[in-house]
Amino acid sequence: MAASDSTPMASFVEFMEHRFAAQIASHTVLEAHSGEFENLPDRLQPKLAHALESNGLHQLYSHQSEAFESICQNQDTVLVSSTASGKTLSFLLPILDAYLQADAPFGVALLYPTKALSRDQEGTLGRLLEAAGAEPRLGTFDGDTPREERTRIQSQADFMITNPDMLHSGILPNHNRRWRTFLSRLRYVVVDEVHTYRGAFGSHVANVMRRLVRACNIHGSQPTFVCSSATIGNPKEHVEALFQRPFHVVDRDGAPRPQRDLYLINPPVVQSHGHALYRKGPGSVSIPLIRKATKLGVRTICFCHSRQQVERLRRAVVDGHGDLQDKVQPYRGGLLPSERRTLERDLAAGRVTTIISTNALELGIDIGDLDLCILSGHPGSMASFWQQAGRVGRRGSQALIIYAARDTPIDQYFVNHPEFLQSTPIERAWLNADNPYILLQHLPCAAHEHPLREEEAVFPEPGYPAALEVLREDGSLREYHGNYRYALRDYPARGVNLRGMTDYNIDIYCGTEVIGELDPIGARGTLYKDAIYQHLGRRYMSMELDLEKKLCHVEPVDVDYYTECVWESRVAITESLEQYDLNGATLDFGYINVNRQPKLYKKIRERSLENIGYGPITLDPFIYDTAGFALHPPAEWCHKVEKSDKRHVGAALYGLSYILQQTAPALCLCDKQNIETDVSLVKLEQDNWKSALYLFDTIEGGVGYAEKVFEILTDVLKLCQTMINDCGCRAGCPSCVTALPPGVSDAELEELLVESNAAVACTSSLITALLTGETVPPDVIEVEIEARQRVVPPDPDEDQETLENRLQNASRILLSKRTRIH
Amino acid sequence: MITESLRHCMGIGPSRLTQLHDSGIRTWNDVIEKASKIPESLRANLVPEASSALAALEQNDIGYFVDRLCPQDQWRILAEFFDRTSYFDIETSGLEMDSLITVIACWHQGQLHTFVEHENLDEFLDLLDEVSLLVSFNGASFDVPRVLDTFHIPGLPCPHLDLRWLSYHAGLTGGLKTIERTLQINRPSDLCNTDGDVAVQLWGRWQDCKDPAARDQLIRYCGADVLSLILLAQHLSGVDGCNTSELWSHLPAVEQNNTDRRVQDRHALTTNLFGSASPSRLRTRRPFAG
Repeated sequence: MAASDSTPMASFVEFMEHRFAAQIASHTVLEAHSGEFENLPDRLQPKLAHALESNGLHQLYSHQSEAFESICQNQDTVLVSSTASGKTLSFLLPILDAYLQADAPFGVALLYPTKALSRDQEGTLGRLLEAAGAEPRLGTFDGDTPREERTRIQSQADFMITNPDMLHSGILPNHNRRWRTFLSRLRYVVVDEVHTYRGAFGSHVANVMRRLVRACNIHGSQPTFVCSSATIGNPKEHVEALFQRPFHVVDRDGAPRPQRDLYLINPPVVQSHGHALYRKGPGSVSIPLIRKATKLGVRTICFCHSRQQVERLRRAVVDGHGDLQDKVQPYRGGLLPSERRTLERDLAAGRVTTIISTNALELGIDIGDLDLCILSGHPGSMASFWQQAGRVGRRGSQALIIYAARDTPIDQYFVNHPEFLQSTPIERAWLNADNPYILLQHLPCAAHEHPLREEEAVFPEPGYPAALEVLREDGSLREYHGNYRYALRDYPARGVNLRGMTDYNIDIYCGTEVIGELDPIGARGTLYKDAIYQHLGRRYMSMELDLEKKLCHVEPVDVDYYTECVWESRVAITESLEQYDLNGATLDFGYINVNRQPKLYKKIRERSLENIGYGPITLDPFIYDTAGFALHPPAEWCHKVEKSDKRHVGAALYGLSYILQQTAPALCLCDKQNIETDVSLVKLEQDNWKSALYLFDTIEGGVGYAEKVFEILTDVLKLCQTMINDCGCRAGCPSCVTALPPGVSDAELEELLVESNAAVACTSSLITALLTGETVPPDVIEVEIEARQRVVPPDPDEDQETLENRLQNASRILLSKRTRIH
Repeated sequence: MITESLRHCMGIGPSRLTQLHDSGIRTWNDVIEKASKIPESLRANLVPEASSALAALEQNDIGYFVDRLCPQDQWRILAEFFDRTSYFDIETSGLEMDSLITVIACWHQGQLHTFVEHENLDEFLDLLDEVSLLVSFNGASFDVPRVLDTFHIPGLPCPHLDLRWLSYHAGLTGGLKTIERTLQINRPSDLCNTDGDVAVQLWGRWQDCKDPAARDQLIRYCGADVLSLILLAQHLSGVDGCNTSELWSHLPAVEQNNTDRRVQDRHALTTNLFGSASPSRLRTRRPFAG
């Protein structure tokens, strides 16, 4: 670094290392690699080769070249690569090549997981298609497509961009009329960001794909599938489960990477006015760094957890620094498409150098090359972590990743065990295409499209005949000429929502103008009456939230606080279906009622984060019924464990709840978000309250995940036990049982968990009791608490800044006094 | 005679057809017997087609002719298979593509069968399995797609002929009502002033107000359309038909002799105001209240 002292990056590194000298917990160098290149394929059409060369592309990355060969041979191919390593070109080049050589134009369907992403990709694709002269043959078909445009796409387009939801509810039900021609000549189905199709959503999409293949076969086409995925633990297994066919995996990334420096910074512990010690927020790291980077012109992206955090951080950065106002911009979901376009243009032109974002940018939206990435806390999964970190270092010589820890158990574990970040495997994606509950929803849609035969190649046994039988009995299907036709008069696809419970958004109005949109669950927590809503740096107050009319009125206000909602949730079994005894523990499976109520909101002053007041929220609770089970720990075990410390039972339940959430998805093939655990109180008999652990599906009605866990609980517990035993940590870690599992609200219990290995020891004891019936008392050891970190005085330049401000104020008062006197 | 249909064969245009007629070749049998008189270039196509057409005729494969014959020749199918023809018409809850079928009437083997939604509509499918040739008016673009969508079946189990296009080639243009006027087909008086919109309203009155007279009237109306189809088919095929007045007696009667006063009043009003040009924008698909 000494060699290039003059570059903005070098001065930035110097500034950071000086400013946070005491707080940098670790510095890791991620090695550069030079990239592997190959010549343009010989069979490439001269027109395309010329277009590439005129854009300065004379070689392909090795993965692009491998994908080209594989796709040219019509193999189903999945491309695993980090964001923006020329992914679009990888799959489009062989398709365009085939398109130019084909005698008659064929159809290509391009599926993106969200509408926003399809719109983003339309531009990129358009440019590539222009080179092939096929640009007017491109169209985006989704819920926003106007009617005339729809007709044009149906009759003329060869390249159609859409999303799985539209395929499910708009295209497949009309396969016999409007989409007949397109489907009959469909040759490629491109599925981008395929890793997002996991869990229940993935299982739905898998069935939509089966219906697509079936419709294509009816019209005489057999498309090749081309997918791209971000780095996940099991890409091959995942796409093969999703599409039910073998895939060729292209996963060596040939794109060059400069050296990347990863800094973990832990904000200091300081003393508040009330003498209590607290850790400063990640903002204390990110705010000065963003200011400095923007001043130096280092292109920066900073990731936050929520939309409102993005807005708050952006304001904190530009407050008092008017010169940064235009250069730092928020980028998040809920922005209108035109606002996003403007931002992307400004970023490309250099008018904006810093963006503060939510994980909206995890999906491949093209924002070009950046040099600095700041993560405010852990994004929740290793896959997301690496995807966010992968945003920097596309080009250029050096890139920087800075991780600012929050005061949460997981973040603190990371900064204290920096090796953990690199050694932890990336999460795997699970889905089950044969989930009977989901299959049952798609068969009526399939029958509506075309009568079902007794045996269908795309729908496998034993789920298919069983579901067919059920649907025949309830009258949805009726026999007709040896097949089964859909016998009801409705439109079954309309009743099946691929993404779970919410399929609409609340529009946010300021006056008559829509300034944003939000899903109804999120709206309950952020748009209740009197809530402060922040949008592009301006503050609005919610005047009225009408969930029925799906709109919210906000008015601009000038306040210096933000609001935070406090939720209360209750979980209860409403109808018990099946019970069994597991070594003294009672397991109770049944219908579960989940009741989430936004109770009140806190007003929190910005910057100082003081709580300055409360207000009530008068919104209906968010209630849904689902399926799940309750686990009541063995009475004998409870009795013995309680003798040494009453809190140990709670510690074990919270610990088990945490590790179940980690392990169960792998065994019931769902995503982490599809199941939820909850520890709550149940009344067994008069004056005898016992804790119980609940595990339930987060999808209304249940889709069988909790049911599966209920059936194979012993296997799940064995896996948990192995994970705890094999883990190298001493007192619990995020990989086995974290020291302070989420959900703990009791202060005494929290104290125990933080100061000992109680979480992991008690969990282990409970698992042993459940598996063997033996009670092995937990061996709880108090962790020696290291001497409190010394209290760090405020940084010198902050002092300086305060002093300057005071002096300026004083001088202004003096000046106005003088003017008055004269 | 159906065997005179030659226009659909490859290479036959108006002048070639005249040539063939001049050399005494009018039927498929002629083609086979007098093959030597046919110019060589035509013979290769004509002879195999004539023999497969004759084979199809032998097997009563009506679908073969419906798929192949030119529109100008299709009336011959009607004439040939007149006794085996079934006629149908549907009424819907609206005129949009996604509106539902409310009533189906079908003339099959000398009887009028009616099917009503929520009662026995699905039984129409069973009847269809017995039908040899299905005939409709404007069915290719309206009735048949509606039937396929309603029952979620990929195609009809029997061949289908649309009289609209047969009429067109016979010089009869316009809708069924216009053609009826041209041919001087007179319906019973209570069915003269009904049209598609009234059918929508009648269904609404049956569903919303449970007025059985509205239901019966709707079935009568639908049935009348089917019966006049038979008369039209007779005209097109030149088959001497049945007694017209006897035909109308097949229509079911309305239970209480309470003809549709409200509809009639309304029609009298609009006709008084606008004459025969009563504007369609004044019509409403909303069901009558009360």
